[in-house]
Amino acid sequence: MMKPIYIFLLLPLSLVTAQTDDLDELFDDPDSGLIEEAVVMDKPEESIFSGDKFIWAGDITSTMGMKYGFTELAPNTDKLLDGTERLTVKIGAKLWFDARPDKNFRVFGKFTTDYPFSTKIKSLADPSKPFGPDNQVSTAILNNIKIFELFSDFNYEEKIFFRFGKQTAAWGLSRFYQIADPITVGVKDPQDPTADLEGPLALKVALPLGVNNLYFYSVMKESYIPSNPLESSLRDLGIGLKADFLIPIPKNGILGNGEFTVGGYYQRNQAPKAIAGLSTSVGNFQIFTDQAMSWGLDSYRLSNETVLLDLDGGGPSPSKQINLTEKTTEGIFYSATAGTMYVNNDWHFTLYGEYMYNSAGSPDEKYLSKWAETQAAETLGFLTNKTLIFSDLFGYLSQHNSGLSLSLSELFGSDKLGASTLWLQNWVDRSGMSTTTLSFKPFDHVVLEGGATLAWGEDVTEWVIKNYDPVTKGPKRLTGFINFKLGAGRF
Amino acid sequence: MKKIIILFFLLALGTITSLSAQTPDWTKILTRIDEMADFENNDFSAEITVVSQKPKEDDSTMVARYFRRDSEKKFTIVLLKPEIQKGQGYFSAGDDLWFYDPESRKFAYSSLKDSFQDSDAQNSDFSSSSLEEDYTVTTSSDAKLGSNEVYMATLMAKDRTVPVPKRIMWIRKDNFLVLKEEHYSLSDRLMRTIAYPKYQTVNGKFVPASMLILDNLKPGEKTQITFAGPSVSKLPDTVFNKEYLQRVNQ
Repeated sequence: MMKPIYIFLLLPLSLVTAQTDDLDELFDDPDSGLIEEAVVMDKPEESIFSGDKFIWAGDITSTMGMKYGFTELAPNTDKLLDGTERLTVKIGAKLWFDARPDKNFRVFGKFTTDYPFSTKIKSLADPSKPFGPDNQVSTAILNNIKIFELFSDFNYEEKIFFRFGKQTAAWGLSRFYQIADPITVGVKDPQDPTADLEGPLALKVALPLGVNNLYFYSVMKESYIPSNPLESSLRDLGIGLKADFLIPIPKNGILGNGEFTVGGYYQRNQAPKAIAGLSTSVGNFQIFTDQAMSWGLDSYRLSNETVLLDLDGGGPSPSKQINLTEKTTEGIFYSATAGTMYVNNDWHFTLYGEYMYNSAGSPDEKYLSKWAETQAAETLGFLTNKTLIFSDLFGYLSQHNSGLSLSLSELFGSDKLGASTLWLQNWVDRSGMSTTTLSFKPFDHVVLEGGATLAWGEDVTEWVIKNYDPVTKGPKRLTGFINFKLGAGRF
Repeated sequence: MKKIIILFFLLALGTITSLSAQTPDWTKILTRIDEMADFENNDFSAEITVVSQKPKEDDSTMVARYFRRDSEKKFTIVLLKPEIQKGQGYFSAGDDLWFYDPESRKFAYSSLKDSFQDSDAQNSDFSSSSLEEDYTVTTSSDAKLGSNEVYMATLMAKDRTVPVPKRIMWIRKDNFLVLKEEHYSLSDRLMRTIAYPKYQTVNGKFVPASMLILDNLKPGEKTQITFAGPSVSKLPDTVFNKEYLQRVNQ
């Protein structure tokens, strides 16, 4: 029971003692202060394993809403009714099982599905032959169900721990970027940095050494295995090593202990990689960094060499200067992140801020538009090699990037209200985006969200492209949204 | 709520001695309380249930299994309920804390002295405290708490690194069990009030059977903690590492 401090200080101690709250009433009970013999549990560490031997569980997320967007960041007031409206529907579910026949053996599987739950694929019966009476278009329906994880855990005398199967890996400390995670298959999206990322088929061996840990990975990435089984080899397996070490710092009022990570990854025909990371605290801020070096690059990028192409196909003379591509196999490429996290529990406030440098990225502010031209030229057959793939757009193409997120899990003293904002910036092409969201949770399993997304920059710049309207494929620089998250939860 | 899980261990797990009291010798009493609260030669484990009450909200319940090894300043916590947090866990060694998220299968390391992750947990809540080393008794008097004869003592922290700058403790005269505590901020603001109405013994060690925490900054918010299946048996070393959290999560 809070009293003004000045009154509190003026009161004699005996009067302070006389303050009553409902906790004091507990001691009016004659049994208060009672000491009884406890019912002791044997082998409590095994109690966690002694529950259900097999469980099914899952979670479901379901959102319905609308977006209303404009091409311009600041549309004229007389054009406010000319925006583009879109219905947004997201339904996804994860279902997993966990089987523990005994405490030293476990099998785990996780399956995911998302709306739309199936996709129609149209193709010629024999794509290598032209369309004709003997080679018709057929339609196949692909169900959108994925095995996200499927692995078993076992160990050697509880000293060395093994996990074999399809599993997530999650190397690296960065919040928004993924430079120090050569094993994970999925690509981290800075707009959704906490999303689960798909991992490869792998054998993981973990050796705990007190508070330090050593890990060995043998990884099979499907994309690196020859499609012809006769050509596949044990040498197609990637090898990863990682060690986490605690770094004690002498007691001081500012700098806390740190955890240092060092590792490496080798995959035949890919760029060898070395990674390091450090997480520590300075005052009330957690500081973290990822460092990565590779010898060469895994993917193609634009070279400085250009070629003149008649892209419109009509004129007798070349009409456009197009950059060619290169895949550098030598030379050191360095990338690094530096980030911080701050949490204030009294304010229910969390901050993440991070900068990323990528030496393989481009310092050219027009890089993305040049990249798009080359990619189009390859797709349309003006260039013979197809080296650039659309998914590369979701990697990190710029040398300098940053991310910042702020969130309040309570507003105005109510945990039913929350707010968050996210700002992502490409400092080379000067594009960026921010999303601010207000949320209201009237009762369990129902959340209402509203907010706005802003994107700025030229038409063909990173964050404007990443906020394109999915239907018109045109830029949307100002988008308001309302979402209803209904019936989401874990089961 | 996670904060509250921890709170009880650090504040409550021992508050205890079997000395008989004559004239309060606070240095001796605090030392004895620390000794009795310390599981130096034993490990400790219990399943704790935390029920939080907030005005105009349904009660929320969290269940966790807690393992503690004072000789190495380590503890491990595995959350069992609510379902959405099942499998999350904490492992701490000294000032270092790892949080494990079974969704991402990722550990988050923290050496922050204040707060950790987007939760109510503060790292200081996880660390053991030493009353004799950290505090000086500035005032004490005889008092009565319900039907119990108690000493009421004001403890002031010796330096600013101590998480709770000031405590007022109500300590039973006959066995030095702490029945109630008040925690104050640096500005002498009452932050929390904690009551330990019942204790249980486990192989000669005293452990609260239940406790009630009042958040004095949020009127109407209360937390009741009970714990079952306590044990002071030796735990295997494998419980006190990060790998254990990966093994037990679901």
